Amino acid sequence: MGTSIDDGGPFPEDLTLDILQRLPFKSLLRFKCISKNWYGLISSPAFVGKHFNYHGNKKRPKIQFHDIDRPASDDDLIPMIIFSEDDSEGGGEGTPLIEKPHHLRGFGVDKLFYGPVDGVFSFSGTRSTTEYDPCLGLWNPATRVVTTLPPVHFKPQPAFLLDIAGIFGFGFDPPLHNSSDYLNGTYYWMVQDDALLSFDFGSEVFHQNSRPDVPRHHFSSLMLLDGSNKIMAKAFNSVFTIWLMIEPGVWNKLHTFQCTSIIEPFYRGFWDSTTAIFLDTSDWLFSYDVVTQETKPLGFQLQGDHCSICVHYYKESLLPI
Amino acid sequence: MVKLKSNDDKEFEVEEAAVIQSEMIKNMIEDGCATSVIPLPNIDSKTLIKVIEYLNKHINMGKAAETGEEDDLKEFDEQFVNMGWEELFDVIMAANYLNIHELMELCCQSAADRLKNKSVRAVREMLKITNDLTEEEEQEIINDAPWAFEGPEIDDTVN
Repeated sequence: MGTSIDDGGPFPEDLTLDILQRLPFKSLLRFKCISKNWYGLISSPAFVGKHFNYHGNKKRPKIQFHDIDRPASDDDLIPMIIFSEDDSEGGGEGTPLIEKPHHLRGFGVDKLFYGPVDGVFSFSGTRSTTEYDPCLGLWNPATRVVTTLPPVHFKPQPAFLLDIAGIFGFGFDPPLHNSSDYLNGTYYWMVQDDALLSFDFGSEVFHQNSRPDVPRHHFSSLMLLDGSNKIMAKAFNSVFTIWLMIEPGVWNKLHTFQCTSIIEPFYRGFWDSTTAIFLDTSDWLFSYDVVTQETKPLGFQLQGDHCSICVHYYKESLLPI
Repeated sequence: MVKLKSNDDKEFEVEEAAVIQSEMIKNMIEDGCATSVIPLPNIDSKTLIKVIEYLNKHINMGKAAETGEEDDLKEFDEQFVNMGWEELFDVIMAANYLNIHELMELCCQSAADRLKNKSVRAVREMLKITNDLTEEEEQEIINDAPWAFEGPEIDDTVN
């Protein structure tokens, strides 16, 4: 039949995409250079989405964490690591994929990262490392592209939001937030007076939703897992409860568990629907399966003050920014 | 038995249990449209022979798991995809047309594995793709992600 994969040949484009979606990032960024046709295919929004979802379904998200209290100095850069549990592209268990990302140098990125949404983080920082010139930026660790957003001139009160092209939502946190999440075009925050606030980007309306019945003094955080909002609550006796939001303001108790194998672990969030990440007292990361109650060391010890380390659940994407 | 006819007018008899791994033919049989010969105008005899070989080997996937023949099947799959690019693309197109999910997976993954670590030059040569980017365009793409073009894993050989 004399089939060729290039355009002009009879090999259909959708089958080419079927093959390309299985390739890792590095190969795809390189193969943009093959021809005009391949450049177009790999850059197309349809393919970016296909690739993100293909890998998202096959692999667990990676963990990205950064030390929010350590300032970025020139030799230290951003104290941040992206690491994956098991990844043929980047090494085995506990191997950092990206450590101290050099391409962020010069942006004076300060302490706070948000997201990720579709593989892209947003951050607040300063354009210059010598004087204070605040800016907002976006960062895609997979393509190593960093960009700053045009300056915005308004006073954040009480919360300010950012929405880009209807795909992203990043929450920027004045002191009253605990955590925030973006779901179905609606942004959710937990605020300190026990309310769950939401903003619908379509109708531009704020709502106050009820939260699950968690005592005020219990530690709790909001998370987006498997496409639904969940609230994690912790009592003083290390008993954790996970609540699932069935519809706005309606909550179901999903799991209750107690980490008994370690003393006073620091909860750092959820990796997937049943795996929580903890930090033990010597700053080693480990995972805990809430169903099987198994703990598993991730083979990685954090440097720095564990109280100020943020953990993000990160899936790579080719999304251009 | 089901009769299949390739686009070069060759007929092949295949057991129904094997051929229903193709969703397309399974639907035809269920709808009663497979009474005589099923013509396959998109598939030549050479490709159809490969596909039938795969279908016959994978006839009882469930049984293989029970009898411990999984390794045998795995070895067969590895041997099966050991073919040239043109042949592989023909099988992918046939698997797509006949809607044989497992065969699609096997062949597309094999193609991706072969391409994964190749250099730009090697891919162009392997797949007979003409570079129509200007030198400036090419340099711009490299400058966007220079690290993607470097690394000990990158393989410039054509095979």
